[in-house]
Amino acid sequence: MSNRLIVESKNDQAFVQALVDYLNLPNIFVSAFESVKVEICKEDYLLSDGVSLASLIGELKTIKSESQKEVIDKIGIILDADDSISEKLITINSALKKVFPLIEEDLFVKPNELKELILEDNQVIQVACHMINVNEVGELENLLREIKTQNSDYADCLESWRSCVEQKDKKITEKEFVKFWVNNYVRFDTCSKSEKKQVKTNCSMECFGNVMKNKLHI
Amino acid sequence: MLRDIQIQNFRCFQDTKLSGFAKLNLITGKNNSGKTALLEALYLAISPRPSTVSSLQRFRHESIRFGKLLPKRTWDNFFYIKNKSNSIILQFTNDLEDIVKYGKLSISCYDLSDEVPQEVEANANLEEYINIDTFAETSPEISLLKLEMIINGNDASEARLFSTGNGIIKKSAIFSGSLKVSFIPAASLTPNQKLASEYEKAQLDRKEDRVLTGFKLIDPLIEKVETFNIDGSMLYLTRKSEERLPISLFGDAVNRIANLILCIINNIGGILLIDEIENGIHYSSQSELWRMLFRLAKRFDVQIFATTHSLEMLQAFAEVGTESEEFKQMGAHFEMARNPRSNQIVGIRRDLDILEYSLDHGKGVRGE
Repeated sequence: MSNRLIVESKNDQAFVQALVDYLNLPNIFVSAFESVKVEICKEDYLLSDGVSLASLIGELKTIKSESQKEVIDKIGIILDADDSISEKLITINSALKKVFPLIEEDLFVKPNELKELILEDNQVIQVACHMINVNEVGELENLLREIKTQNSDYADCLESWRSCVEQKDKKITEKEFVKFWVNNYVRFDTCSKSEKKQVKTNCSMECFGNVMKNKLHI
Repeated sequence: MLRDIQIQNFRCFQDTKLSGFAKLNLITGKNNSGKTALLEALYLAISPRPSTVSSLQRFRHESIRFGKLLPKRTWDNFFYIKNKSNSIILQFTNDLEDIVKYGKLSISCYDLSDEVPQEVEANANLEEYINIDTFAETSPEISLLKLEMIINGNDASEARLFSTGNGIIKKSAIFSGSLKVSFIPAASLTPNQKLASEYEKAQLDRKEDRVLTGFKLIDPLIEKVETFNIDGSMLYLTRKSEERLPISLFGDAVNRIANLILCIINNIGGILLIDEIENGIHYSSQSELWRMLFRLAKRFDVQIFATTHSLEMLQAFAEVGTESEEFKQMGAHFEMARNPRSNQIVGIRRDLDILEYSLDHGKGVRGE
């Protein structure tokens, strides 16, 4: 039996997977998330601009197919709210109706509720959705910056760079800045001499999965 | 075109239904997941003749001698867990020129050891005995395999195969036209003489260029195909600036490609079943092969069911199948697996865009 968690980007996947692995201690293993598989939508990551309906449908169809060869107990969908929770709920409801034709009405009127999906073969799967990054709070990079453990001189010096940019009447959003900060923290503050031989693999957000796998201490 | 099939009590299938067949269907799954058995069920359902039963036994390398020594067990392997007390039932939907046909084939086995049927007595010394071995010990055992096909509620055909100590006696009656079907098994190559005669049939209808096009996928230097009848008919191929050579001197891929193309172009409106389509085909030719199959299937209105173990073949199918909207509509993928709740074999259907999505995202689509 397994549970599936759909997140929006490759980096979200790496982080949530690491979190799940970290929490997956024997005493917690008994809980509902006994074998969570985190799925990603590469296209969404590349667009880095909200979930696409097509990708969510693709992911849900894939899970539906897999439910015929293994028991899937629960599906979780974690999306960035961006500007509007209600718009994201529309996306989720549309995708669910497209993939599970027995659903007649919108399944979710608000996030964080557990609902039942009934499949054509009478199988029942529970599904829930959760929104992160509501009103620019809860962005993955904000969280990473908050929980950093190492010295961050290189990344912190970007504050001076931001001031410089702003003095020249140029704009950089807080979201962009925090992403840049995390990039620099991973690339310069926490990249060891040996890791620098393969910077892209070991010390970049492009390969954030490797960072989450091998350098959880940072 | 066949739309679906329900298979009961046949080979590894207790009760399985596959729906949503397309023009080109690629079937994957682990070993012993039912891929070949599915092709066999389709073959029997489409062509419920004694020769089909014999072909299936030959493809599975079943011993003829075994049937003669133990006639009661001749048909065991067709039945789910060898339980002959339940009939095999194959039900399918087929739409031909907007006419929907519902077919139901029942295959039952009877022990006739106590009463020698007239057919066996009457034909005891006739040529209808197949594979007679005069040195075999005679046995009183006789078992009957009876195939009864009903189409839209009416009798369509009936076939009977008597397994006796002297061999198999076949009787059949076809009441209405059945579909043309070809089966290309995984391991065996088509006899060269058969290929040559099929090639000549294609020549009669001026379709032989398709075969040369197929050969060029495997070897671009092949520029001419001919048949010669010297001690038996044989295909000869000529490579650029070289002497012509018999097809038997080329690799297995050339034989398989020739057979595959000839089965399509000589069977307009038919069905082609190919077990392990990747056999002998180099990975760099697989996309072109699929492109050719999509075009030929459309041009000659042939429905194709193929199995594969090869991830490269599956990726090539997804890549080519998503090249155009037309191809997308023509293809479907089926993954054979076992449902953990019902413990029945299932055929998980995927449209080609979902197959491509699954492959791109590293999902298991071959029964893993």
